Amino acid sequence: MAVGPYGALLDAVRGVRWPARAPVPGGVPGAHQARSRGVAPEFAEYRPYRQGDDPRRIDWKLLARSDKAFIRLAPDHATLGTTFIVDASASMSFAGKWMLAKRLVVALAAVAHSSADPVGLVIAGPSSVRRLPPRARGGVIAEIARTLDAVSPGSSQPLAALVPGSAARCVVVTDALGDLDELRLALAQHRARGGESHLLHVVSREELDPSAESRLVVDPEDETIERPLVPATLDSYRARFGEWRADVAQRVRGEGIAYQEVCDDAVVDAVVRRVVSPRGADGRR
Amino acid sequence: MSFLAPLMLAIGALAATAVVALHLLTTRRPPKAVLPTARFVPVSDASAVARSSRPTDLLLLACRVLAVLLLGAAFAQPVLDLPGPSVRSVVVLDRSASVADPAVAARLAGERLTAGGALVVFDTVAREQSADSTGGAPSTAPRTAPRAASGILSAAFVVATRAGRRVARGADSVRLVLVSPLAEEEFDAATDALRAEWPGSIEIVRVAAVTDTARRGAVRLVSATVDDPLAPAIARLDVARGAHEVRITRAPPSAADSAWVTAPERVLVYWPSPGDAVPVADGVTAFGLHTATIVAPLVRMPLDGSSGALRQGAAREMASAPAVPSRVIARWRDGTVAATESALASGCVRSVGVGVPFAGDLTLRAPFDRFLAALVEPCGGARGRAVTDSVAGRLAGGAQLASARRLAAGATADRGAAALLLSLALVALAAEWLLRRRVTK
Repeated sequence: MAVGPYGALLDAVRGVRWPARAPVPGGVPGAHQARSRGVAPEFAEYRPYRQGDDPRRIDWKLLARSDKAFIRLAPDHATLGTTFIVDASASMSFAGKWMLAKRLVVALAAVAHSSADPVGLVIAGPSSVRRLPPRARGGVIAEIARTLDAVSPGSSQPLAALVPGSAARCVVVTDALGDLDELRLALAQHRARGGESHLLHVVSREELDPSAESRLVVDPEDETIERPLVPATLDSYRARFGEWRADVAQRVRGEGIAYQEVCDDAVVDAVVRRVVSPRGADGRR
Repeated sequence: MSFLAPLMLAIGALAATAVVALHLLTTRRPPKAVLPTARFVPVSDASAVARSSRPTDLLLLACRVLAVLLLGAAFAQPVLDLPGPSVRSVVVLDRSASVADPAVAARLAGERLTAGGALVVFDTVAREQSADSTGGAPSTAPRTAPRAASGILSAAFVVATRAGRRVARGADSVRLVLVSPLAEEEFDAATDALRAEWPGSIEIVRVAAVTDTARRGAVRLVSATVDDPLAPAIARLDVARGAHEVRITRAPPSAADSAWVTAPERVLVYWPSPGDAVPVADGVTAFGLHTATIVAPLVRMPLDGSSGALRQGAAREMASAPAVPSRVIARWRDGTVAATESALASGCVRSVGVGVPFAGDLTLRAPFDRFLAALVEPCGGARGRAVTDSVAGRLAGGAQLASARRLAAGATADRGAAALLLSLALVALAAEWLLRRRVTK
């Protein structure tokens, strides 16, 4: 698998599993517990025979003892499709945010793919939306890596419309500086449909703690926002940015969406382990 | 160049520093930088105050700093230091009639006058002799003007102190040399106080004084009446010194009087009688060897009539001996001239406008004796004896030269230099205004 600079990262996350946080709809057999019952050798429960059931699944010994026909049921497992929606707006090109987003997506895709889950990619690129439908075949991780490397962040695209309608896993990697409210609602609806929603909030160290050098800072996505960042306004900036991030985390988590703030100087494999943890990075299920 | 008020110079330097600091805190727009979270920066003026490591608008800054420094220097009262030796001299030369040999005094003064020093000559007035065109010491050659006036040391000390402050610029110390016989009449009540203004010792070079010889009975009253009130006072008069003769005439001077007075050491006093004029309470002061004032019922009499009579009677003598300008020897209390003296050939004629009434005991009192003594002094004033060595030693003080720094403390600023600095500051301000207009355009 040609994964270029991601080799070391993939080695670091090898063996990591990403279980679904809730039973997944039935389908292609996979690693996640499905809501449906199957015919596996493990016993789960009995159900009275109904017309149309496969007669081979009748428990004949129980029929002989009780003179009633019961079907023997076993737990079922299925795959969970995972779609990564990556924000490639101009603000993501700041500092190491884009590189962090790429590494996160590749690593998480590899983790998901290791459980035979199909993984897909949606990039809200500067000119158009690039899509890679979820696939479970080999080489999909390399394809995702190549696709990400081929994109340079530019003008912003709305992310809310890109959230899939199916009950799959949806992971959004963004700096949350775009259509956050719409995105939050879309992810909440996705979760209501039985899907699993993740929001990875990417921030840069320079945004968290800007240098004290005086400069006129400009928003790359809205050049009308042009304000002097001088020592006198630095503390106020830090306070307002901190309050905003806390508010975003509270509101997103309030919708049952798994939220994780990731700084661009973080160790990616550690972040991946927190994201895939059943308890989540914030200790919540 | 030194400054009498260096505090102003320091204030100017502080102001210049503040100007530089303001240029470092200029309101230029800081450089642009991308920050995706710029929306969280508080809204404020984009051209906010920013610190810079280098001052902006260097030309404007230069003009402003220059203007502020020049203003500070101008208000610091600049004094230009004069080139010359570290020890300079101020020579005070007595040119009064008390000096027996002016040539000797001038030679002694010239020997002590150094380059960069000052020469002060004095009699009744003191003045600083200007330096010659070569920039060296001023000339001490005696002038040919008559020396009928007495010397006043007080005036000499005033001018000498002022000259000392001037020559002290750029020097370490200043030596004051006084070439004078130190006659009694050269001292007055202000002499000691004005001497104390000189912050050092005085090198006194004493020269010979004019020697007067006593001649009693030299004053003669020519009066038409036998009960002239001046008679008893003249009888009591003791002319202790002065080789001169005095003739007091109550009538206008005659030709004989005029002829008499042309001889050396003769004084003709025309002192008319007030007649029937009503005296009023008044005061008059005579300036002789000792100042004498009388306050009594007196009659103010005009002085012109006597001169006319004198001219009529002595026309021939005056044609050959031109009169020297008069000097005032007495004044009324309001400053009006009460008596004058005019030199005539080798003698002099005095006109007295103080009418002494016949009634009363004014002429019997001691103040009138002193007043009369002042009016019958020799031509040009009485010559007192030279003061004793102890008095001269007290005048000389110690052996320490005057410190130039202490002298400079009382110096006055060089107005020319201050005006020049002020003008340059105005030019710098004008240039700053022009530059600022160009920048704002």
